[in-house]
Order: sequence, then structure tokens, then C-alpha cells
Amino acid sequence: MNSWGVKKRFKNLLLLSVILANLIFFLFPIIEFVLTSFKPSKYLLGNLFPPIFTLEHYHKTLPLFIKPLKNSLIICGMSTFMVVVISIFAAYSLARFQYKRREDIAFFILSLYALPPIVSLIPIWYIGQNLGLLDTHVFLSIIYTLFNLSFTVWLLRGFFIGIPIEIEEASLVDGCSKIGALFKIILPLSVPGISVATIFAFIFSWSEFMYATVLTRVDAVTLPVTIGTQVSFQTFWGKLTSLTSLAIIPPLLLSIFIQRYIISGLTLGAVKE
Amino acid sequence: MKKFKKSIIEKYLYVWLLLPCFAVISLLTIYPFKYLIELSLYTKTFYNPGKFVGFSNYIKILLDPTFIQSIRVTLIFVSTSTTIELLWGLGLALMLSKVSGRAIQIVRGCFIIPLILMPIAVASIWQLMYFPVEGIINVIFGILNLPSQQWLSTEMALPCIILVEVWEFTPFTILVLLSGIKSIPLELYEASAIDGASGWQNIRYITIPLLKPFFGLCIIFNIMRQVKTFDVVYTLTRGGPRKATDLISYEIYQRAYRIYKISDAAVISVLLLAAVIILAIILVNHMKKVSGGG
Repeated sequence: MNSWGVKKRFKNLLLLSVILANLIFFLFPIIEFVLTSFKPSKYLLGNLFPPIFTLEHYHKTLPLFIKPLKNSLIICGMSTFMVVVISIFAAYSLARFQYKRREDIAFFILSLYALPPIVSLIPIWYIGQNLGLLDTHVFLSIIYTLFNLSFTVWLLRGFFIGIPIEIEEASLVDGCSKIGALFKIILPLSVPGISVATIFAFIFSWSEFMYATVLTRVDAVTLPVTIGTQVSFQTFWGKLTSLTSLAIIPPLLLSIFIQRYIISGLTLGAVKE
Repeated sequence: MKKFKKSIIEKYLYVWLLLPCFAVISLLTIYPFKYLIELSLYTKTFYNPGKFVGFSNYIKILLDPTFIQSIRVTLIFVSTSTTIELLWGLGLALMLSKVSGRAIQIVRGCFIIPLILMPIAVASIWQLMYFPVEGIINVIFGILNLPSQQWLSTEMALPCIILVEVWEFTPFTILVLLSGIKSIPLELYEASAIDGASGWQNIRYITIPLLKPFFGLCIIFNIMRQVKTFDVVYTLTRGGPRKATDLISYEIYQRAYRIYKISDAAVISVLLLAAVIILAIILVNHMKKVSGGG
């Protein structure tokens, strides 16, 4: 073998080992954490690989898991439904009607994406208190609707603009109303786009912690809040690791369906794949 | 009459379609912001309705060493993490662009996992990593015969928090830049190969200049997210030790819900809002460029 081939081989080997090292760096903490949830109480800490696997922590956490799981599902379900419906109408208006300042309105909605949630936390807490809505499912889902709104409107608008306008015009000539065209033409054609927006909205609501921890106490406590209360100076590792491992399953499963769109979605459609 | 009604509905259909969206937006932004500004002009605490003091709250906060410390921590956090994420992301994206076929799909899938985890889960994971007594990192240090460390101590806490941010979100930069590299037409490289350019020259004179809009995108999205960071600090360090990790979001939370100085928290919120408007303008301008004016 000539020296060029050796050099190239060496280069490839180096490349692959660096990539592998990176993969280990990004995955090792997660793997180690999930492994810990299967370690028996005696060997929870101080080793990297459990000598025996056990489900004891899962048996113990399951009853603790049910109520926040139910709350999370209710709140995320409601807010995802609301945000997707509201966004479909708004995105349709911003994509398919001609009027003055349309682009300005669209970009205003986009700009809300930069808003740090903490800024509105105090006033929203007061609103909740005055209306007696603290610790309710409805209040938290309305707030998640707001925080996902700019994202979903912008994403759906991009998808709607991508649908050839001729299809819609043909249906309008055939006597279909504008709103009819939305339901009969646009929606069926943008099922992939709507699914992506729905899954993203769901994952974001599922993960939200700050509002959930300030606005709930007993009745509407979500999974992230339950996890948050487990992390303290006196951490019960078995409980924490098993609870967290269960809670991260739904977003991971959902993300498989939108794998191709994740970066496109996270950059609000600016990166096309 | 009926016809008239119908025409109103149809003529202004675009308004009706936008209405629910703006109802939600105004309910949860306009009123809160107005209220926030009001609060910032009073001396309100949870127990005391307070009295009107005008802008003296602002002066007090701007001179408050805790507030200045929190700005300092936030700036260090944002600038360091953005820089590391960008350099690391670029390096790995360049390497990954050399790998082809199925392997890259698997690697991509793996990099998505930290991005999709909820921040509170990330915090739990790193709580286990950093735990002083037999936490994962110290166990590894033990295997390597290195002394155990107190990871979340005053000096180490901020770098540790930055590591968590970098760990969670470098994959975002990697994947954005990888898409960017793939979008560069291959002909450019072919042309430079004819001119006898080396691999490094290709990267320096073709890849990096053409990635510029993607760098912009990464920087904007990274900074926007880093300014919002709350969960990790809340769980891992509570802003401590000795305010070493007191990010701005946590400082506001702390003032409002730990020491109940609502007006002080409102002042900082207003200041943060003003700073974020600049970020939002940069974001909008960049997206206008990228989407080619929609």
C-alpha cells in the first residue's frame, strides 16, 4: 500500500474516533442516568454499571407518577389543541390574504418568540390569583398556548405558503368559499406541517417548568414540577431517576416522527432540509 | 340585511381569522406589560401594597450590587456558551460532513436526544453527574486515580452550568451548520480542486464564508435561549453559591418569590424586556433576510 492510502486511512480513523468520542460525550450522561434507575438501592451510587438490574424504583414511583402524568396530559393536550386551532386560522390569514401591513403583523408575532417567559411571570401570577385560577389546568394551558403561539403560527404560515396557490384558486373558481378552501384544500395538504407544529407544541408544553412550578401547588402539578421537587440536597436517587426516565419517554417517542423536521422547526423554518 | 352581514364576514375574513390569535396575545402580553410597568413604579411587596415612588426603584436597582452581579453572570454565561457552541458545532459539523450514508442518520438521531429532553430532566441528569458524594464524574475521577471535586462550589459552579448548557444545545449548532454545509453547491469545491486548493483552503475560503447566514442564525437562537435559561440554575444551584450562578431569570424569580420584593422584580423584568426587544429586532431582520422578504 502506498503512503497516500495509509495517510487517508489514518485520517478516516481519526475522524471516526473523534465523532465517536463526541457521541459518547453527549449520550453517556443520559445512559448512566437511566442505568441508575435500574440499580438496586444498595448500589445506587459509586459504580458505573449496576451489578444487578431491578425494577424496585419503578414499582415505588409508579403511584407517584400517575397524577402528574394525568395533569401533564390534560394541560398539554388542551393547550396543544388550542394553539394549533388558533394558529391554523391566523397562519391562513397571514399566508393567503392580501392586506396592508400583513408582513408587519407576521413579523410582530415572530418577535414574541424572543420574549423570556420570566418577564410576564409576575403579572400573570397576579391575574391568576385575582381570578382564582392558580393551580388549575385551564390557566396553565392558556399560558402554554401563548408561549407556543408565535412558533406555531410562523411554522404553519411557512407550510401554507409552500402550497401552490393554483390549487386553491381552482377551488375558488368552482364556487368554494375562502374558508371552505381552508378546510377542503389547505388542511388536507398540510397534514405533515400541522403534525410537526402539533408535536413541537406538545413537547414544549410537556417540558415547561417555570410557570408550572409557580402557578401550581397541588391539583394541577405537572411532571416537570414533580421532578423538580425531587432534586434537593437530600435527593432520593432511585425515585428521581425512575421518575425522570419515565417522563422523557413521550417527547423522545414523538420526536421520532418529526426527526427530519427538528432543525427546520427549531429555527422556525429558516433552515430547510 | 343578511346579504350585508355575509359581505362583512367575507370582506374582513382575514381579520376574523387573526382575532383569536390576537386575543390570546393581548391577554397575556399587553395587560401584563402595563401591569409590570405600574408595579415597577411602586414599592410593592407581597405583604404591602406600597406607594408610588416613580423611577427611584430603577435607580436603586441599577446601583444594586446583586443586580450588577446577576448581569455579569448572565453576560459571562451567554458569551462563553455561545462561543463554545459555535466553535464546537462548526468543528463537528465539518467532520460529520465528510461522513456519508446511513451512519450519519444514526449520528443525527443521537444528537437530537439532548435537544428534545426537557430541561428539568437535563438538570436531574447533571445533578447525578456533579453530585459530590459518589456522583458519576467523581466515580470516574476515582477510577482515574484523581481526587474528588466539589463541582458546584463557588469557583466551579458557573463553568459547570455552562457545561450543561453546552452539552444540551451544541447539537443544535452542529445540526444547523451541517444543513448549511450540505446546502453549499458541490461545483464550488470541484472548481477549487481544479485550482489545486487544499482541504483547509476549501474550508477557509468556501465553506466558512458561505456559512455566514447560518452562523447568524445559530448565534441569534442560542442567545435567545440562553437569556431564558432558568430550570437548570433553579434545580442545580439556586443561583448560588454566593450568587455565582445568579442568571437574570433566576434573579427575578428570587426577588419575587423568595424575598417577595415584587416591585424590585418588576423593575428588572422591565429592563430585561427592553434588552430583549433589541434581540427581537435582530431576529426579525435576520428572518426577513433568510426568507427573502416572505
